[in-house]
Amino acid sequence: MKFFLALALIAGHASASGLKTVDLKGETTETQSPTASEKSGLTPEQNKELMKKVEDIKAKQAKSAKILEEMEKDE
Amino acid sequence: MNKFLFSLLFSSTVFGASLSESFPAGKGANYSVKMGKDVEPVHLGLYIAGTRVDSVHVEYFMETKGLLPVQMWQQFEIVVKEKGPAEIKKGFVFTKEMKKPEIMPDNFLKGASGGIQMNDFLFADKSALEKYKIGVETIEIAAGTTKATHYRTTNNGQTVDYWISDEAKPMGLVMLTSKSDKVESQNYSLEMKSLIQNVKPRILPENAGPLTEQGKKFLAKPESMR
Repeated sequence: MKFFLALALIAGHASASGLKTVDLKGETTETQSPTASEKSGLTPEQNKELMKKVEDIKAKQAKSAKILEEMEKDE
Repeated sequence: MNKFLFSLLFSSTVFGASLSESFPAGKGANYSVKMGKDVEPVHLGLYIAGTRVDSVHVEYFMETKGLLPVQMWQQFEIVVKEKGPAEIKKGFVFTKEMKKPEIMPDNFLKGASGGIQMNDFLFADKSALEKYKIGVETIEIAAGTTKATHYRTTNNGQTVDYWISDEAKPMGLVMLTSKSDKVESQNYSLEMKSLIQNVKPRILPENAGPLTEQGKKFLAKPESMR
């Protein structure tokens, strides 16, 4: 019985209809893109983490640019 | 490719239930699309971005590999009527080369003339499809095995066979083949790879600006500009 339960869990990609289902967990399509993962050699999860880091860096860059702009104004 | 995409509409009987029930946001399907003699298939994601009282926002994600890989999103607000075909009200396009999504002018929403457009046969009213029905078949697709209704329609040398399954809601479409001896671009096939859920739309219409020259390059020229 446990064996069959494990099998059912492993086959969790199948939807109630029996068709394969992919859960993007609230992400946009690009983060799960097979091309992006294949190109980088990363798993979709690693790809997502990397993209988050890139976004963080972008946000920090934008913040620094704003500070510089304000400093220039003050001068 | 683009011509084909923005005429893709719904197959489900939508009335009797609210649009948000028939088309839950974040749900859809991934497809593999083969165009003509191209060896490399195009990846297509098709999912519900959101619903309003009388309209549904559908987003497409297209990705091509090869020498010039392209990732493109398009979103359409489609007004769903109780009778007759659904109507595209607004369209948006976005690629990574753009700063923000761009609004597709009306002439870009009219689709390709000639041949068969999907909204010619994917009516909200199922009874309208009956005349095209071939039968119920069990088909094997990349997403698995499913029981689907096979329809066939022909017009001006183009023959479109398509299979609709209740198991593949909200999109319904699980497989399609289009063949034409006259027009090369009308030779393509589409197969469902998987259902998808919890997809976040890439395009937020409220952030969209006017279509730029750069944006136009990603879209098929409308008839009026040829």
